[in-house]
Amino acid sequence: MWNFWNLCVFIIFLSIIIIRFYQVLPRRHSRHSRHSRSYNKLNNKKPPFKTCIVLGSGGHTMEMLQLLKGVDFNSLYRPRKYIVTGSDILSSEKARNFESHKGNVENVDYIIQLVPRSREVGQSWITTPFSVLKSLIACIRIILFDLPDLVICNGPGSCIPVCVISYIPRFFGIKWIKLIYVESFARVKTLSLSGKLLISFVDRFIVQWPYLTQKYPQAEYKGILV
Amino acid sequence: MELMANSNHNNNKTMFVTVGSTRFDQIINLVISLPFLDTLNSKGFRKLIIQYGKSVKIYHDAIHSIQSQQNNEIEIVGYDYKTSLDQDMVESDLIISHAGSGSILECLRLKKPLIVVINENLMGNHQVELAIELQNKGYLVCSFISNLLELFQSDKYFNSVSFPKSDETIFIDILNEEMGLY
Repeated sequence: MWNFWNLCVFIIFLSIIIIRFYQVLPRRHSRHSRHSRSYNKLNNKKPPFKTCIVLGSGGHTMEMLQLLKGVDFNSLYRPRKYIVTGSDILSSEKARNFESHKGNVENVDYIIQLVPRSREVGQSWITTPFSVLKSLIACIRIILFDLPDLVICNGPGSCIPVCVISYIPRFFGIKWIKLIYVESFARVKTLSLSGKLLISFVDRFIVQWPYLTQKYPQAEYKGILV
Repeated sequence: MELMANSNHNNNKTMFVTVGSTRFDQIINLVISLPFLDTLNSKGFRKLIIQYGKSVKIYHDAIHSIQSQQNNEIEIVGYDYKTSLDQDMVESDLIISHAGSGSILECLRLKKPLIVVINENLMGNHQVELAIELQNKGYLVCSFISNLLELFQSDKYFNSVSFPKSDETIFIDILNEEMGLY
């Protein structure tokens, strides 16, 4: 009998979690009508929007900064937090240059935060769970303690833990952190691994080649953005 | 010599070769070879800048082997990496690049004639797809190591379409729309 009730409770919990999870998935079809209830309730935020930007090695950072070039940092998207993977000094440097060109001051208008890499190239699979955990904890600190309004990412591996953690406040109805994903210009016919993993969970999934929208109906194509 | 000067109004051109952060030995070996340097010379190029990445040894060996034989006036400058290749790209009249999307994009933005050399070892890689797609649109010309010299001699890389200027407003609109500003 005891086992039966245990099972019942477990099933009820599981169903609640699944239903709730389903509720917080992005509603792409109602995006244009904007009458989806959960959408409105959690998104009456007025600007400025606290923005989190995930940078990644080399090409990803270059594309990201190109995307942000014309974005209004002074009245709409501030303060900004750049998430950079530990060893990637070049990306931090590029972000600093980019911001100072716009006349912004570090630690006032924007900050740069480092997270450890989820997995080094060639790292053994046995130690990988630990390093993944380490980077998840770093993301909890960055995302949950600060609750940004918006996360922008474009495909480096580090955007996966960031997006996962961003779902927690959404799940509990605390805050709907908007997730915007832009697939790299380099992806013509196939998505990157990050893209494949995140496409169903982000609020906007933008690609830069039209062919990908045929293959992945959730993706939007509006032209080359970088 | 005089005739050549007339046919090429700019007789002081620069070529830039970039392999990115990878190793691409064949391309280094090819551009630092006598037939290639002779062609450069005859097309009015006077300077060859090479960003050789991890192909350090190949570069130095190649330079060493042509030093004794070189009979033209081409100045060769090489380095492994730089924080920004922008300056070298701006100065050059023709860029030969590996298929990395970052390098490709930088060249296209500068509206420079661009030959992308596809590394046959990476066929099926998504970067190759990008290079071929951009070639189909006429923004650049793709080549393999085997036909690079021939392509360069034929001058066929010049009639490319210029890459559209990036439209910053598209992404701004996406952001603002998603944040409920429209």
